[in-house]
Amino acid sequence: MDKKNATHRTHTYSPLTAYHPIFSQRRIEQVRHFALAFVLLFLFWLLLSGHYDIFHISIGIFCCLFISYTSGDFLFLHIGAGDTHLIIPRLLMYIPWLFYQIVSSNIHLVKLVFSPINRLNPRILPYQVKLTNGLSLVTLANSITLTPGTITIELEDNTFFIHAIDDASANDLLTGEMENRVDKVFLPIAHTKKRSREMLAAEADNLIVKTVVRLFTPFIQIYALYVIAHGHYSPGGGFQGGVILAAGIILLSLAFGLKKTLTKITERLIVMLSSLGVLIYGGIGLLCLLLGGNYLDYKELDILLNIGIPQARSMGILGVEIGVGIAVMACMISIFYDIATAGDLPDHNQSVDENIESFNPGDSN
Amino acid sequence: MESFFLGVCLFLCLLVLPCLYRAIVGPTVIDRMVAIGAIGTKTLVILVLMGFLYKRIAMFIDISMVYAILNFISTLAAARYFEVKGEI
Repeated sequence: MDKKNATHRTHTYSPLTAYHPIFSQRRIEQVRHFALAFVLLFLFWLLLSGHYDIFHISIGIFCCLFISYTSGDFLFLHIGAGDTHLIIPRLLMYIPWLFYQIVSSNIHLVKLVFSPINRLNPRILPYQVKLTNGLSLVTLANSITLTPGTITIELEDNTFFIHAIDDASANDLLTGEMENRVDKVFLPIAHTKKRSREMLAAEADNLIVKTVVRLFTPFIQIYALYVIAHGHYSPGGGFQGGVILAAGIILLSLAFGLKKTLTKITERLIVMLSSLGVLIYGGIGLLCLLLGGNYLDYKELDILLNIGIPQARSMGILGVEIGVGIAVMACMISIFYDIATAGDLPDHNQSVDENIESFNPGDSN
Repeated sequence: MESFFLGVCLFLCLLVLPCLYRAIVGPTVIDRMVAIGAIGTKTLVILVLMGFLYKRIAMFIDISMVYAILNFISTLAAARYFEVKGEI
């Protein structure tokens, strides 16, 4: 925190910042986040794609730019100042140990299942931890759930409620080795305690779900765009990609509350998008008709594009897939909105309806 | 190796049946939810194994990833529903 303040001060007093707001600390941070999100998402795209020609890579760059602009922020958890980059090597050291734990407790569980004597002793035990950082709490909770035999049920302040299936699993956990290792991983940002306490208060309920959903959503969206763009090589296409895109949005509104989602993705936007999708689809079809072919007769597009009939067909199909994807996404989201609010959506400028409150009473912001 | 994958596939298909029984008969809704979750996980593995059998692993990985996402979302939605409703 002190370090951040110090750097902020130097920026405020430098002549550059005084005259060019573009160099402000916040702006630099935003650009850095955008670039990092883009790199991560593009690596994910390359991993998925398998087609490394200029056409597909340029589609990939466009999709990744779009997603990093719209939801790249989700990847950054505002864990505060500190040497955040030091976490990654420590995390890589932690994962093999976690993997070993998963395998060994799996074997233990198999023995338990097949043993003739009933040694199961299931119970729910509270487990107080000394961790304060939100990210380390989430990591510990997920590690506990990943190792068979123990499941994190709830997290309240610094107390986990854990379901353990027998004595050995419970005792393994209560030795605190896992906690110490997680603590070590997040040591570089441990001094941002105050900030993370504030974050804990702000996201007190469903910290685990919210964090996981935040990290997932951009990758789900990139995956959906990959499905749309590669519809003519692999299973999928506009319909499937649109459904996955909508699933990403539904996931967000499940985790953060419908109220918050409705402020970002309004019903108005959804109606506009669904019409836009149909317009793209019908427009390409009619364009083919106007150029002298049949409806959706893609080879006629060659007259405009002048790239050869096979390529023109490919482009036409891609355009139609994009249109279908947008329309399906919008329809799915609007169906979800209607079901979740029992068909009683408020106007975007009116105060939020009671139905939404009852759908998500825990969400205070 | 192929017959091994086929065997594993068939065995997993057989294992789906008890889960299906629990999902249909299951006395409480939670039983059904857990059963559906277990079936989803098995389906995921079966899909990847089918990819090995048909020698089109890339394609089947795509499908199984979608299945994993949808499984995750459905579990979350059900959990959320019970949290809000507060009853089973």
